[in-house]
Amino acid sequence: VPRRALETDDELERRFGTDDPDALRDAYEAHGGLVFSLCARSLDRESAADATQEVFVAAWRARSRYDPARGSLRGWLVGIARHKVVDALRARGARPAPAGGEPRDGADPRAERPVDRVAEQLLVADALAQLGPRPRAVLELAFYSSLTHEEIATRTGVPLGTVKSDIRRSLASLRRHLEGLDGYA
Amino acid sequence: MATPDPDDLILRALRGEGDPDDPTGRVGRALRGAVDDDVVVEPPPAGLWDRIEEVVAGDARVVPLDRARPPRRRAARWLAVAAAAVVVAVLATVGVVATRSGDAPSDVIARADLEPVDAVVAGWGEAQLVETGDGLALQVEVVDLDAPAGYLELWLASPDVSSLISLGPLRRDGRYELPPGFDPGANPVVDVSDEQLDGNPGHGGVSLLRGVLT
Repeated sequence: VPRRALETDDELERRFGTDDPDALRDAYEAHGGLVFSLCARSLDRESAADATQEVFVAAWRARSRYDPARGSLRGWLVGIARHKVVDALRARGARPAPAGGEPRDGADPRAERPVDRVAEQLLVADALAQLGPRPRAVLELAFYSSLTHEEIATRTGVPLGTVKSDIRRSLASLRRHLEGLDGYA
Repeated sequence: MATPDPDDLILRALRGEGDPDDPTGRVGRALRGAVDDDVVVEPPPAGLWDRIEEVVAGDARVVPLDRARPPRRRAARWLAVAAAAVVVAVLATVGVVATRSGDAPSDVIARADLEPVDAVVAGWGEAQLVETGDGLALQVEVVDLDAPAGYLELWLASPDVSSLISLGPLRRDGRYELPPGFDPGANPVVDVSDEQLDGNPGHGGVSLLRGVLT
């Protein structure tokens, strides 16, 4: 099964690298909420809106660098957002300490870590919500219960083979989003 | 039973019972964290798309490099390029050319990709030399770049980098008005350096990104 078989935004990803101006609008409509939500976790709403604007402008200017083979557009946009949030936090003086050095006054060297964690959480939660109802129900039991495959099949009424293939395919899709997140570097 | 079932291994990895750095383990950690922290995706504020579209429409004024050969004598010919840019912009944006609020219309007359000087440095950027109507300005966008020593500073330099002019610390808006009479043709190298807060106004010698305006 092709890894991208579950994606509904294949076409958008392909168009995004071109100069099709509708592609940016479509990307904003599909993922603007995700990007804004990540920014709003660390910034006030006005700064989060500014950061979201910067993310989509930067994405458009860098569109030739986006490669669907290296991860999802959703993940790539969240990767840009993560950097913009870190930039905005730094601009407020919360500069991270130089490597190996003492932290500067008022700067917590771990201050940026929650951004990375929240980025991953929002990305997979959003992607999970895009799965069909059956694969989503199966995957939720897979990661959030201690049920066996057989028990998941019994609980959901989904055949055992389908339970296993749903989990594999859904995971492949979610991993691709995280690859997109990593791909922006 | 001696050989673990691959699907069982997937379940274990997903539940954090395997290698936490395994890609599946990472997905599981993020999924469980999303539920535990109750992360919610909310819609962006109304009107935000219009702001994005406005900035991007301004980008449409960029003249493709192959159509905008850098002239030797700037003044007169840049005006011609600027006029051509307006035509391109009108064609490209179907008559909807917005500019940033409050700014006079500006046209890009040269640009540079800013690439890492050292392969180990992440980050990249873009610089655009624009005619603002009041003079020349440099519009710089830098992405994913750390300043290990302290802060980022922007410079314009001669082709052999023997002469360096500081434009100051990197600004969030990336906008730098160039002094009247400044000749970017003689200083086409855009340099982003890593500077210490040591009171020394000179270039610290550590260039992170560099590109040449053409």
